[in-house]
Amino acid sequence: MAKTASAARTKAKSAKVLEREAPSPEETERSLGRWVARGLPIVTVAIAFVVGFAASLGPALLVLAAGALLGTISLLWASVRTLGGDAPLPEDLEALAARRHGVDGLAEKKRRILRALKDLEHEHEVGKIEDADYEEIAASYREQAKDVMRDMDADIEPLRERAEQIATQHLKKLGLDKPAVVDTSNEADEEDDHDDPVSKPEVAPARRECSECTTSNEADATFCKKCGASLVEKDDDAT
Amino acid sequence: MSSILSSLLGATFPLFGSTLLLAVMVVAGYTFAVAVAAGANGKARTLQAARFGAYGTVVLVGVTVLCLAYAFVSHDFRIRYVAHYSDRSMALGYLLTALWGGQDGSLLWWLFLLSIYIGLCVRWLGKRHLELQPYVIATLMAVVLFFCVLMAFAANPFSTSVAGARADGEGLNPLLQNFYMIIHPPSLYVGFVGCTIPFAFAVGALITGRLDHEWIVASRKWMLFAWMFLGIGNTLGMLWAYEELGWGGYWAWDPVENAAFMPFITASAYIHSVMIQERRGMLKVWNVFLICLTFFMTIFGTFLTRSGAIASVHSFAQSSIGTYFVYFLVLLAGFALTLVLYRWPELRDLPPTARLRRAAIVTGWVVVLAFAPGLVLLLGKIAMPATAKVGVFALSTGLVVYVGIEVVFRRMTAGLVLKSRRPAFESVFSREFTFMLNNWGLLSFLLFVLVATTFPMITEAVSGEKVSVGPPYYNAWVQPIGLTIFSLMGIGTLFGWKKTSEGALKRAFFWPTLLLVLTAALHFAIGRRIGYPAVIWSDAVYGGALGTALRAFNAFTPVIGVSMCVFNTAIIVQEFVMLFRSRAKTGAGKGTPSILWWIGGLPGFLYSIVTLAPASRRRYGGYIVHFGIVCMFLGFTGKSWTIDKEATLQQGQSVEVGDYKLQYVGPRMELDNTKRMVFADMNVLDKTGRILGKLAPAKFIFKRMPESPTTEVAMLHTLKDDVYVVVGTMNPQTKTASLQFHINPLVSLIWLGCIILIGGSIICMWPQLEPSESRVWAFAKGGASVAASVCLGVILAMTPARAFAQGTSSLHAGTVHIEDDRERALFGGLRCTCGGCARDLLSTCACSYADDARDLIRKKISAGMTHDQIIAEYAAKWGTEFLAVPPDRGALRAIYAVPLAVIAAGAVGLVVVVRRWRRRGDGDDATPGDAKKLAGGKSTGRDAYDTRIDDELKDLDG
Repeated sequence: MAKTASAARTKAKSAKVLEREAPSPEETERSLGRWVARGLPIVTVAIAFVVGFAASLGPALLVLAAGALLGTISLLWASVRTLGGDAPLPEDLEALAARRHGVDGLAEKKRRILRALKDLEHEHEVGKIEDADYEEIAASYREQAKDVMRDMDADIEPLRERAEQIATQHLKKLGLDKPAVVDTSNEADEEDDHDDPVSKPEVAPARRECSECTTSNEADATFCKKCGASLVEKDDDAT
Repeated sequence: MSSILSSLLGATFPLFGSTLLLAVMVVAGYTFAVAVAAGANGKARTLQAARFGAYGTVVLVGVTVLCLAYAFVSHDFRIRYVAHYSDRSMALGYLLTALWGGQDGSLLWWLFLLSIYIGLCVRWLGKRHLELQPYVIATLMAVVLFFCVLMAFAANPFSTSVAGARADGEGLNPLLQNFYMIIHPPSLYVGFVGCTIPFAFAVGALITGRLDHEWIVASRKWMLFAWMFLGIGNTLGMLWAYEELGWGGYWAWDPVENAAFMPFITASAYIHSVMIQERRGMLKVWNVFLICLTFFMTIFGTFLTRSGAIASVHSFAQSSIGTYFVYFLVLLAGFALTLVLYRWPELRDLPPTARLRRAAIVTGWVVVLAFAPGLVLLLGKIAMPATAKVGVFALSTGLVVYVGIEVVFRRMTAGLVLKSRRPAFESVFSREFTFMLNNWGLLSFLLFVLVATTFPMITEAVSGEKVSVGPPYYNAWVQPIGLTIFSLMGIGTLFGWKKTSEGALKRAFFWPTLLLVLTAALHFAIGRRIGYPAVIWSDAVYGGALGTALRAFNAFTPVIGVSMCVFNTAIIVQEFVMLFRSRAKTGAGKGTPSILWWIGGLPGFLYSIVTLAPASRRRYGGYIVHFGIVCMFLGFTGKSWTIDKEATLQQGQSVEVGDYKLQYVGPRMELDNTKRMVFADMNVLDKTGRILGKLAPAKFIFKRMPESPTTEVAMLHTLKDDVYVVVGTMNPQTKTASLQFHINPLVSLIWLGCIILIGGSIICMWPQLEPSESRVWAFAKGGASVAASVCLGVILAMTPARAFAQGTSSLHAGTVHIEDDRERALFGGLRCTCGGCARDLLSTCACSYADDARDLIRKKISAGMTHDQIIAEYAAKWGTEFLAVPPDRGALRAIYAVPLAVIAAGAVGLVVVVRRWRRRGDGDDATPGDAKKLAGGKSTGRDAYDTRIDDELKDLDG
């Protein structure tokens, strides 16, 4: 017990040292959090092992319990501080939360239809459905998919225009208004291609073309899947 | 150090433990509130606070468990729970496993497992599903709160005994009467607790109204994991009953076994029906219902175990926590119902107007409350014949339901357009339809088991008549239902999604059906000669036509079971052949390194399956699970050919049982600190006299309980059959031993099937390969993560087995002596009257009451009384509650009539629903009707969208 307490004290001290040195208080607190999250379990288990071998299992269990209790306290402290607005949030959480979106009926429908087409393809491959039936049903689903995609395109049309406007303005300011059209179409799709990582492949097909080898890549690709060239910088320029 | 510690902790340690429980309650309450606030304000900051709070709760539960562990290790006998389940002589390992040995501790253990799940779930959620997260956390915290309340007020593991500390604890009594209660529940906890997570996702989806595929994708893996552990837990339970209880069987349809089995059925149904929602957007209400039902069943199962409401060999002493469970169940059901009703418009794809919501909620509750007057009548103390009560109940309920739907709903939604635009079915010959059949079958099974399990409780409340429902009843009814589901399992896989062409269907059915017929013919021809007859007649459970029909069907179970197994195996093999053929055609199989095929085929096969696109991988993993179930079914079918024999042997004598010759070598005695062990050494020989193995069934005489020695089973396992030997009595002077032999064919296949099932589930859960990672790395990572989680779970599930391996067979301290099959049939239908052994049958109960009863019945048989006469006399003497099968008369017929009626109604409902969907399909504008036209104009209709569709299809995960 005593050992854990002293460990906690040294921890607090080192945290203070860190605070003095680090430039941004937010970053300091984050690193402190990381330090506690990693250090506390390790220190506790280590002390528990030492105590366990030196004395017996009973005290070792108590050390573990004490460490866990400290953990609880720090977690709750973190919770209260976060709630009160004092503690910084993980870097991208706020941004992600700001981009939350409602249920997109059309995207959902499209996802289902594509799923159906894919299933049909598979059943056709393994021979559960014959060519004639396959053609017939696949055609009907394709038609439905097209309808949905047309609707989706119509929905994002105003957004696309607005995005194009913003982009043109921005590029004008930078004095690069020539390639604007190509980039902004990507931009517009990006707006529609929400952030939800799970439904990623189903929403509008914002593909990203590699500037080096013209391979088409996923919208959220950071590097080209063929040649490995970075795809991000181009994007940063555009925004 | 210990003395300093104990003086430091001093008098208040138990109090500290109780305070920790209260602290968990407070922290969980705080987290709940913050999570709800996060859901309401949608701020990332509040959500983050809730996440921290959830972690805090999890760790605090860990502190509580550690403190209880410390109490055990330091022998703090002031704490009642510690004093009750441990003593100073216990080894460390046993001390720690005593943590979940009793009721109070097992609740804490449950909470602990739940908090591990919560920790993993919150961690996994991370930055995904930000909209669902707050409510998922809130729901999980509510469940934690419930368990905290339960422990703090009704089953506190830290409560102290009034008399103060004892010098020594009671220890884990080797002859603990209700020892089964210790080993069985914990092995299932991993599965039980796991069902909470999908439920939390469902609640989150319902509250936020995000009922698209998002929550399904999020909860699918968790459900699969829980499902797998329910399977493992159930199989472990069977293994335990088989290895340790010494009556030669593995499943006794005990209420607690049923309680563990029911969530498994609903989870299976969910795993199938969810695929339809993923593809069609249909069955949303159904899936939410199934998830809620699964969670409900886990809580209900715990209630059954703990409340003592139904006599069971597992039941805990009657305790007050049953009441808490009832309140929780009611609250849960009410909450889930209201939520579903509130989201009715979204779930049914109707316009979500406030009026429609109101109408749905009011109607729903009117329908539910419609049962109230009837229930009051049924359960109240009104003098009325039971039949009349049931009649009035049915009438009044039906009337109110009609009024509720017709008057209330129609009136409240007058003027609203209720035509939902929902997708339609192309064809009945599709996987969608067979999945619905499968759901119908599974739910029918559930209903049957549920009604039979709760029947004693219901009849006692309704008519005051006590009945009990024993294995013979289940065995008679479950065979037809089980085999129906089993055949649906195979037939379903023959169909493809959307539509299966007639020609393809005929081709698919050809080989399996041919094999089915051939197997059946072969079985009839040579079955009897090789000791596995195709038809086995047993006694009817009922007189009259119904009994005869059931008996006739069950007589054919062996041949139906075996040929169905062949049929299903053929179907699965055929599916894989089709897959590999198509892969060979498209060249997709090239990815598998051929070295894997050369080193035995199996690695290559597994590698190919694991590297399939996720949707296909799940599908073919599912087929592997099906194969595991086929193996298990074959094992169950083996039960029909069991040979039971008893013999009293002199030293050196031998006896022939089935294909084996068993030679009694002689007695042998060993001693250790706690007990005296008397072994009866046996040699197992085959017909030619070659020794196959040695067995040593034994009696253990514990110092603590010298008057009731335990029986230790000895077994020789082969894939073909198990030789199962139990020693009854041994005379040390004459060296004679009375022994029981069971030859249990194909039992090993059940355990093998479970292993295959685990393998298949792992393939389904295999993490998706990320294209950015190197293949080997991704493979290693995926394998390691799945293997680690499964191992952890298996260890958790297996630990109680190790802990209580010592005090086994305690329930059956004596031995049952049965002379012939006629006696066996008779004893199997009657319950022991001693009251101590709860629900045991005369054929398995070993107490002295049962011995006397058996002697009495034996005398009656020799006096020439018939089977039915003896049963009638027994019932008249002791009451119907001592019959294993409720008598087939009056209101008691409800036990099968009600489920059968509901199953039939379900079938009709299924037909109606499918017809409606088909009609909608015909009426809709973009369905096969005019698809021909579209297909015709396809060549001209190809446009930019087609390219986009092709592109996206390529990216879709197959």
